[in-house]
Formats: sequence, C-alpha cells, structure tokens
Amino acid sequence: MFRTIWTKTLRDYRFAIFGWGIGIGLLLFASLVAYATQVDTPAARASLPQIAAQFRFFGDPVEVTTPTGYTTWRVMGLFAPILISIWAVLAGARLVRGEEERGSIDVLLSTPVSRLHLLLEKLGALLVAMLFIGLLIGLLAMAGYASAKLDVDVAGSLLTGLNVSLIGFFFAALALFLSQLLTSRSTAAGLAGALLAVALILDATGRTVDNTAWLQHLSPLYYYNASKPLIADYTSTHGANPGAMLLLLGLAVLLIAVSTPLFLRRDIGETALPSWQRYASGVQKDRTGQALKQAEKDVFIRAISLRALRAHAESIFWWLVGIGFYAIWATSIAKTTEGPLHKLYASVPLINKLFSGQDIATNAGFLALIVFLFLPILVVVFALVEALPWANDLENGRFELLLSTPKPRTRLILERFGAVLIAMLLAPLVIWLGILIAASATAFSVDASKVAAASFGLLPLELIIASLVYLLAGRLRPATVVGVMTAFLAASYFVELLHTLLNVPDWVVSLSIFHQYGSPITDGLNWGAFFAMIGIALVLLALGVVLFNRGDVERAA
Amino acid sequence: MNTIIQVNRLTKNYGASRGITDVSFEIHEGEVFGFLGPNGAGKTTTMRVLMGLLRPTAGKATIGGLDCWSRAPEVKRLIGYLPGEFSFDPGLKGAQILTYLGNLRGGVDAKYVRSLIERLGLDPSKRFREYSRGNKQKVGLVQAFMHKPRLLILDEPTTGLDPLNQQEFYNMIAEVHAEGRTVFLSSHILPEVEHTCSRVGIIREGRLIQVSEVTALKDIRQHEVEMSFATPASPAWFKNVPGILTASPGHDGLDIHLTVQGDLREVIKLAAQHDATNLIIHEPSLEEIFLRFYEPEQTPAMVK
Repeated sequence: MFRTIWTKTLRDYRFAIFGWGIGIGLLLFASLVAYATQVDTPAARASLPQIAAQFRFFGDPVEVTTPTGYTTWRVMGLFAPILISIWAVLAGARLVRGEEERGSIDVLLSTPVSRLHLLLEKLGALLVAMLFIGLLIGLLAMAGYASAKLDVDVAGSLLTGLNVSLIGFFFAALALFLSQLLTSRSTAAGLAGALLAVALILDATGRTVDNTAWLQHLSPLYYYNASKPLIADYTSTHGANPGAMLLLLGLAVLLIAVSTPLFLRRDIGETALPSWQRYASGVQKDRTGQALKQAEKDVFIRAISLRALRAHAESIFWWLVGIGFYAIWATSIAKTTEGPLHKLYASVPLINKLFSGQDIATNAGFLALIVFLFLPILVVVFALVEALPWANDLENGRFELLLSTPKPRTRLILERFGAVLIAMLLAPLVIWLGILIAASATAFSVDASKVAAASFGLLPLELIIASLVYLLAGRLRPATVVGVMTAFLAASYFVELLHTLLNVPDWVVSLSIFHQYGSPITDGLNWGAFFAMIGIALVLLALGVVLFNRGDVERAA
Repeated sequence: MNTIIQVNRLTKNYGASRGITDVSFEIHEGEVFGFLGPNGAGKTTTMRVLMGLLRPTAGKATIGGLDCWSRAPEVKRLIGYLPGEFSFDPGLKGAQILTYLGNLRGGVDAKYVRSLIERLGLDPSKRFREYSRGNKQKVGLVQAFMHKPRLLILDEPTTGLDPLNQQEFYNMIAEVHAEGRTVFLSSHILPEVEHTCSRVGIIREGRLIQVSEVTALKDIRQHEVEMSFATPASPAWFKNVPGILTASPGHDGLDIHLTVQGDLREVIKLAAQHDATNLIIHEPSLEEIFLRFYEPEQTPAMVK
C-alpha cells in the first residue's frame, strides 16, 4: 500500500469508503425494503403521490407508488448526495492542503515526483474511493431489491451508485479548487460546505416554491437529480441522464483543470491569489520595532485559547455561515407549505407512518423534518473539524515550545478545548437566532422555547465528539482519529435514521448520539439525556486530560 | 557549588532500541556543561525528559531540587529551552511568536528581546513558514534567552546558523556564564564543545560513558596521519612512539598511514628525520572516534 502516492492515499480513505458506502447503501436498502410495510393499503398508496408532491423538498416525486420511485424521492433526491458531499468536501480540501499544513508535502516533492504527478495520483485515489463508495451503494441497492422480492435491477443499482460518486467527486473538486486559494484546509472545507448548503437551497427552492424552477439549474444537485436510475423508464437510457452525468464529471474536470495550474505555479504553503501585503510593505524604517509593537498590541496572542480561536476564526466563520444560512432558508420555506400540509394531514393517515411518527402537521414537526434533518450531522461535523487541529498539532510537535513555558499541560489542553467550546456554542446560537428570525420574517409561528431546546440540545453532541477527539488524539495518529470518528459518526447517524426499518436492537440504537438527541423541536428537551451526554463528554475530556498529562509529547517531524 | 540538575539512573524506553539507559550525572550552578554524542545517541531524549516532555521509564531527574516530571511547570520557570527541532503556527510572525511565548511566561523585558533580535540579525516581521532553518533557529534562541533564565537547555543550538551568528551565540553563552547562570547544551561537534564548555558528558547508544573536564577531551582526540617519503618507508619507524594506535604501509611502499592519539610532536619529528615529502593530517569525525574508542573489547590492532 505504500508503493505509490496513489495507493497510500487510497489506504487513508479505507475507513471512509466503508463508513459512507455502507451507510448510504443501507439507507437505500432500508427504504426499498420498508416500502411494502409502510405503504400497506391501497388507500395509503393512493395518498402517497399527494404527500410526495407536498414534500418535494426531498426530491422529485416520480412514480412514488413503486418501491424504487418512493426510494428515489425519499432517500436519493437529497439525503444521499448531501451526505456523500460532506465527506467529499473534507477530503477535497485535505487533498493537497492537508499535506501542506503537515509539512509532509516538502518531503513528498523532494522525491522525483512532479507536482502534476502528485496531484493526479491523489485525485485518482479520490476518484477510485468515490467509485468504491458508489459500488457499495449499488451492491446494497441490489440486496434491497432482493430482500423486497423485486427483480434485481443490476444496471439501475450500479448507475445509482455511480451518480452518487459523481456528485461527490464534483464537490471534492470544488473543495480542492478553494484550497488552492486559501491557506487553511478547514477554511476551504468550510467555504465549500457553505457552497454545498447554497446548492441544496437553490435546488430545493426551485422544486418547492412556484416560479423559481430556474434557480435549480444553477445547482449541481439538479444535474444529479436529472438521473433517476432506480426508475428504469424515467429516461430512455435506463433512468439515467448521460448528459447530466457527463456534465457533473465535466464540471469536476473543469475545476481540476483550473486548480492544476494554480497548484503547479503557486508557492507551497501559500495561496494562489496574488499577495498585496508582501509587495506593499516595501522598505520600512525599524521593521523590528514595528513588528514588536504590533505584536504587543495583538490581543489574540495573550493566551493559548485566544490564539487557538484566532487561528481557526476563518474556518469557524464559514461553517457558521453555512449552518445559519441553512437554518434560515429551511425555516422560510416552511411557511409556503404550511397551509396545504395541514389539510393533507387531516385527510391522510399514512403521513405519520412515513415520517417515523413525527407529528408533521404542526409547525414544529415540519421544522423537525426539514431543518433538523441535516443540522445535527452538520453541527457535529463542524465540532469534529474544529477539534481535529488538536490531534494534528500534537502529531506535528507544535507544543514543544509552548510546553517550555511554565504552563501546565492541563492548562494547555483545557485552553485549547475552551476555544473549541466557544466555536461549538456559537453553532446552536446561530441556529436558534436563524430560525427565530426567519420564522418571524415569514410569520411562521414556532415555539421559541422548543426552538431553543432543539438548538442548544445539539451542544452535548458536539461536546462528545470534540472530547472524543481530544481523548483519541492522546494515543492515535490524526489520520486514525479521523477514520475512527468518521466511522462513529456515520454509524451513529445511520443507526438513528434506520433503526425502525432495520430492527436494530435497542441497546445499539441507544449508543447513537443522534438517538439520544431525539427530536426536541417537537418533544422538548430530554433533560436526562442532555445531562447524561454532557456527563459522558466531561468524562471523556477528563480521560483525555489524564492521557495528555501522562503521555510523551511528540517533537517536530 | 550548588547542584542545579541532578539525573539519577534515568532510563527512557520507546520500545525497540531508541532511548537512554541508566544515565546519571550532575550539573552545577554556573557551569557550562556540554553533552556530546553522535546522532541518535540519546542527547535529545535526555533533554526532553528534563523538560518534562517525556515520562521517564525509570530513574529520576530533578532541576533545582524539583522533579522534572511531577513538577514540570515550576521547573520550567527556571529554564529557557531550545528544542532540537520545533515547529510552530506557520502563520504567526516572528514578533508574534516571541510576544506570545513572552506572554505565556508572564511577560518579559521588551528591550532585552529587541537587543537579542538585533544581535542575531533576525527579521521578526516575517511569518514562521517563511523563515529559513537558520532564522527559525534564531527565533528559538531568542525565546530561550529572552527571560534571562537561571538555566538554559539548548539542543544542538548552532544548527543552521552561519559562522558569524555562531560566533555571536558563543559570545552570548560566555555572557550567561559570566553572570553565573547555567548552560546545558548538546552537540555532535567536538570543537564546539571544547570551545564553549567547562565540562562534558559523552553519550553513546543511550549510555553515558564518560563525564569529564573539557581539558580531558584531548585524550580521546585522534588524528589520521598520511605521510609520503622519497624513499621506501617502514611502519616500524613509528612503533615505539607513544599514542600510536595503528601504523600501516601505503600501497606503493613510499607511504605510511598512522592513527595517533594525543599530540603529534614525536610523529612529526620522526617524519622529518626520514625525509618526509608530504604530511596530511585529518581529524576523524566524532562518530569515528566513538566507534574506535568506545567499541567494547576494542584492541588497537583491530582498527584499520
């Protein structure tokens, strides 16, 4: 596996391939299998198109009275592409910028490997990883057909997987492009994540709100949804739209083609944008004095926590923009569907069953379905991204000088965690404000206390993730920490989404942080789980502190 | 004299082979102590244990009477430390790094920091990632010296410095020494240690093999001497000279190759008596000296 950059990179992706491939695949599998039990009467069948039309947010309602059409609408329209793109954005931003931040690219490029070669090998590995994920999705789709006693549609299954791979590859290429312009990997990921939120919003708005269909064309997700290979007769080419698929691939290739010369020509560790600062400084009198005076005034180097906050400010900003934007938008479209929904609910009993018992006739239920469908995973990934620098800094020997000062290790780790904590507190705050503002602007009535419960109820989840990272980093390499955490997140999220369909044992479900979060927007906060999770997070953090205090400190590689 | 560093049967294992075994030594307040050894001998490991960065597997190290592991924060109030290799926030400027570390130490004398910066010719307005190796080293040196610590622990301090800056660094050490403060530095360069230190510890493969006054270093000093003669030469001429470790004939019968320990007076005299036409003297690397001098069960005849 260490023979080429290509295989080494692919090896780094092994956890992610299985985590995301099986996770998304199971989602598809479960939906195919569940259709028969959920839609069990002719009356239910008859009402399904009406429901699906109302919930176009999830995807285009096409042939929803068949298991494959239902699955395409319910799972494949929005869920699958967003989930894969979250990973794609992280991987794309990390592709070369991650190696630069670690400083390992200098060594890689000191071998007789050209930059072009390096980039193409890494991209190749990423593409193969995406195709593997697509393949796993395809295989689980086939298993779903078989379990639901349908004719197994091999071509449809594989094309569905391929389509997911392509949208993922597009967002990875987008993040790669942004990482050429920004010197921080997490800022590039944050900005690409914000653009993913915009893509989702454009596509779903175009589908949901009248006279805005043109907006969809601006979103890559529209071209993803142009293919519905599970519905064989959706197009003449087995439900797929080769033109749209090629367009996605073409856009990805275009982004790569633009990124390549930027990467080949720029300085390693620098942005590809011209730097004004460097030329503007010119000849100055007393540079030493000025530099020292400026440093003296800099508030952000007065303490470890302030420095950590400043170092990740851009990344935190873009993540919060993405999260806030999504909360505002999803709440504002809620109003447009409010009226018809209430009518629908009164006449169709099936609707409750379809959305795992959530009372979507109420405004809170609707928010649960649209706003709090993605926000928990988004917020938790945000916590992961903000906590990971701890693992990286440990590995890179960044603490050698800091620990030569009389600061105790406990102080160092807690100050760094404190900075992450502030970022993590901001996310629920942004969500809470976003929903309240959007709701009052659109005159959509919500229960402010439940909105607060649902927003701040996310904090224990973030805490658990961040403290787990701090604990694992005490013994494991950052790449392994990422792998373990990704697998844990994917498992947690999918177990909670699928447990009613897959008959997962209760004790397994209870391990999912998303299950413990529950649905506070409808049910109010489960204080027991809230404090229990905070307690667990504190225990994990305490263990992390102990490990850090007892362990050896790495030196610079 | 007060003992400032006390290391007692210190062992640090990392698993397979790296680390140090059973190292004991003392450093007195006010001395400049050199730690000499080839790459990978355990110099850095010892220093990082002293800094509380590594946890000893066995044994104990104290600084100023405080245990280096359990009372690390207090210990570090006494120390200025330059790591062998270090990285830092690549986006921070030199001035920011120095101010930041100064803040973490509870404030330092800004004038003194500035004088150190100017002395070493560091440009503090650049970002850490833009610095060359030598300039990174200067940042490291300034932050180690800036709070006028009672004890300086410097891991290969001259790495990457140009000769002018090396000289300036030697001056800084001399001043620290004159003020009665203590320096513990490591090096793999023999002349550097001879030049700056009063006492040395020699470490090899994780074991401290000798602690002595620096004047005793000449005992391990060796020279390779190659001589050419106008007429056929015999190694037997040099047989009875004290300090000769090996004597072998060259390939054409006109040359002689000697390994000599100690001074060369007798060798040069004899060479002159036999009408030598050429004389080349090398100083072998420390590594070679160690290999020769400290290899177990070593006999001079086996050395080529």
